Amino acid sequence: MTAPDPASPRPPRPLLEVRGLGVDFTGPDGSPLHAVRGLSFTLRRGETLAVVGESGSGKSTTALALTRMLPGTGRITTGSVLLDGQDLAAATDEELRAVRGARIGMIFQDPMTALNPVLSVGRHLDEVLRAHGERDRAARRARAVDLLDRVGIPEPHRRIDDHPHQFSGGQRQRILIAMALAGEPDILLADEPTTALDATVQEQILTLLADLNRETGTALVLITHNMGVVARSCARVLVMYGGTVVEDGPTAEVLTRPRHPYTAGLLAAVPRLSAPSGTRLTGIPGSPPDLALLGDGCAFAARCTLAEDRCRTGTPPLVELTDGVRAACLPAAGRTEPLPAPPPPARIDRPAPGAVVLEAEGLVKTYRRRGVRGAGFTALDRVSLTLAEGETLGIVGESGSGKSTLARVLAHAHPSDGGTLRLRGEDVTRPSRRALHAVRRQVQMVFQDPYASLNPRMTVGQIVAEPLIAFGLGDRDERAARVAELLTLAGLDPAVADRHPRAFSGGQRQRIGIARALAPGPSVLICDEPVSALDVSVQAQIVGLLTDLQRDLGLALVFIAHDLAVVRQVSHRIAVMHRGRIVESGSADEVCEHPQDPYTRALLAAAPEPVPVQHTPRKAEALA
Amino acid sequence: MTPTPDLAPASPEALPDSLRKPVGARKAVRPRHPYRAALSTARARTGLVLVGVVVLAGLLAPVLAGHGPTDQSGQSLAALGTPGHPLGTDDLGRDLLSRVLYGIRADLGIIAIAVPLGAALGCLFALAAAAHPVADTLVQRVFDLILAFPGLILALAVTAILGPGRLPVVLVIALAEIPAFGRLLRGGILVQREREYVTAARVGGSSGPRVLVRHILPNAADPLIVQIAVSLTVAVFIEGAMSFLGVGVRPPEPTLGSVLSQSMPYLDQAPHFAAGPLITVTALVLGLSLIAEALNRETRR
Repeated sequence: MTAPDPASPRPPRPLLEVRGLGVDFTGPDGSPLHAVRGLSFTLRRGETLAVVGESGSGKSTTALALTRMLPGTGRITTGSVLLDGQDLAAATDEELRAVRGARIGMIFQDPMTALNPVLSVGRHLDEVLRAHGERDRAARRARAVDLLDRVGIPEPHRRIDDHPHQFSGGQRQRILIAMALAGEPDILLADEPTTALDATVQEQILTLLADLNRETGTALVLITHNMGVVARSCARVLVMYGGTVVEDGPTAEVLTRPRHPYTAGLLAAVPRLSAPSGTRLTGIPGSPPDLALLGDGCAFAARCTLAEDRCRTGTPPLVELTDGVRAACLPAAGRTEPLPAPPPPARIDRPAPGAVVLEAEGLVKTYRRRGVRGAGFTALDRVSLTLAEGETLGIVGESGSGKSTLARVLAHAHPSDGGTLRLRGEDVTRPSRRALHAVRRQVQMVFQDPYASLNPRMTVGQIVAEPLIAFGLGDRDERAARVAELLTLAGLDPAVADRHPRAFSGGQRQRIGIARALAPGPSVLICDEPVSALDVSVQAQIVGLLTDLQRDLGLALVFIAHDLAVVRQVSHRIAVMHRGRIVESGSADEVCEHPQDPYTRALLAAAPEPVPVQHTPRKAEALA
Repeated sequence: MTPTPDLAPASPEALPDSLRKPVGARKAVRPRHPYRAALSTARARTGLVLVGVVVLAGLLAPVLAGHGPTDQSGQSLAALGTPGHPLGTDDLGRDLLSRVLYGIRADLGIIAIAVPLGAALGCLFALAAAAHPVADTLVQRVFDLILAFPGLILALAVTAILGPGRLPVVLVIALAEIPAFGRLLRGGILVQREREYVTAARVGGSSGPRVLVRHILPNAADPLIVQIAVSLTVAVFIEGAMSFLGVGVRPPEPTLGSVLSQSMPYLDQAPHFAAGPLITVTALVLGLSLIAEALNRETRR
């Protein structure tokens, strides 16, 4: 037996210490992209650490770099990753294999594709356990049942031979967690483990991770973009921006008294469930940094209201401030008083809704499986709603609730199978070809995915002009003028009309989508999850744009989202969808404050808020 | 103390100038056109040179060849380097260099008509298939039928009906290429049709044909460009095989396949007889394959 080093009473060495880590990718034109720059942090045994940041902040790259699993052209250029003193950045592949799984277990974002569909769950676990040196087959099976039980799969001995498709998304994520735990790692590295899951399932997975940390002492590194998830599950938080750490400290401290202007802006941008309807979200102006263009100086300087000249020239070091918080901000380092609180959210003065524009009654949509007779899947089950001029109707629900189908039926992208749809009193349920053309001038749509909904072969100008051509509006010159006007309306520089969509960030692409939807001068805009694919700081800009457009153009908006907090702030009224039905509807504030349906209550309870929580057992709202 | 600026300005007017201007795109990162990028790779350049040399040789055949392709001299099976016959002569005393050069010319003439014809027919079938489910089923069965015949059986069948000559070769190649193009385009249309930007175009009021031409086809066309290069390769093989079997272009007119076919009985005495067509076909096929591969790699990125 070897005793632990009894010699000098040194301070306990951290479990994981990252020093000055730098990761480069090679861009399409051969120039280096610095995805991670000079990143340092430490992780103690049994600690829970959240790494939070928006897209392009380098948080996922950091996670992958820790075990050198970088994809494509990614490579570690500087720094070291010390796991109990062993440098993983310089380790051989053999040594790394011994670390992966056994010392650092990983969980990824998408539980749907991370399991091999032809192997049973038992085989998945069996393989991992064998890789970790368990020789005895029966012992492996017993351990696999144990692990499944540990992560909360009911009746594990019966389900162990089931295949991945027989499990729900949440259960699959539990199975992946079981696989990560099989090697009894010291660190569990979870990269956006709940992003692909519904809020109520997210809640369960986060609870499981917290329980595992408490009971097994496994340190947890949770990578997320969601401040609510951070508050809910980690004691310490690392805020990343532009490939480096900008703030590092105890979660409660960082959430209540952020030192870095970016953290403060991010927190202000998160929509709060408690904010009443008609409140303007506070975003961060500008867009996330382009890694190819980052030069010297603070990466956030271009969007920062505190930025001074020195911010643009020197890279700010991460310095220790008060209360165990470290921040990389030159102006913040000299401050004694807290950052000025963001102004209280402004109320939006919106005119009262006018006459009813769109009316749906008993809409039904059934998807039949090909070749299968009998009842198919009912996506919409007798859905009725009304929408008035200048009004926003928020539709909330989890995945599979039918909200996207509803959007498509309302926008006449899919025909309905039953019920009636009236536009200004006129029946447009099954319009003739000519009537449909007329309806489409009135009803336009904004899509969820700003990457998929723009034709990659067309320039921005062509994309926005397309509806103008389709409706025969104006000649060539008039169209060009109108495109410029629409781009300006959507907050874009008209000079970008000859660029292709790939030159734009997510938020900018969504603006292009909005400009296109506005082109024929519609009176109804169906927005299907318009902000779900966007970063929080950008989300507020797009929501603000939609609200302003509504005020200026008198648009009637259908705003679909899964995030109740956003929906409450933009909507006059809310309809909650569950399994193809509207289970509850009413004024936005009423639904959020006095929910009647148990499903609405569960949804409200599961929404993670970015406020520090006491880690006490929470009463779980049972789902039907 | 100077008043501290607010973190998040309440109104746009409070923003510094640098942030108030409308959002522009990043610096111009307009990547080069994928096809042009593909053709400038070392792989594609090698292919282009190989194909270019062969094509040029074919085009310049009347200039380069010292003799007519069917002129007979007294010397049969002359060796390499014989004065006046650098590649020697064949069993009937015809100049091999001339026959190979004119053979290239004949081959190029055939595939330049046959492959575009096959591609066009295949694409028409695909468009019909995309238009209606019943048409789709029919078209699929037609493709199955064509594919059910091995290439040579198809060649023999067509020749049996039309008799040997240039036309049956063109038809066989075109027929054989139809399913490849048809299936690729049909698949591409089906995939692109479900894309969100197509829904967006329909909701934006674009008519069915406009959605097809303006949105779906340009995005479904990439695999077709690659397929053209692949099909040209296949066409060279088919022509060679048909002439080799004696069901191709009628002698004495030379093609690469027929020259190769004639050389068969003399492989031990005069191996150089087969060398000309073999090297040419290899260069052509290798060059086209390199181009196809380069295009494929670039468009799949």
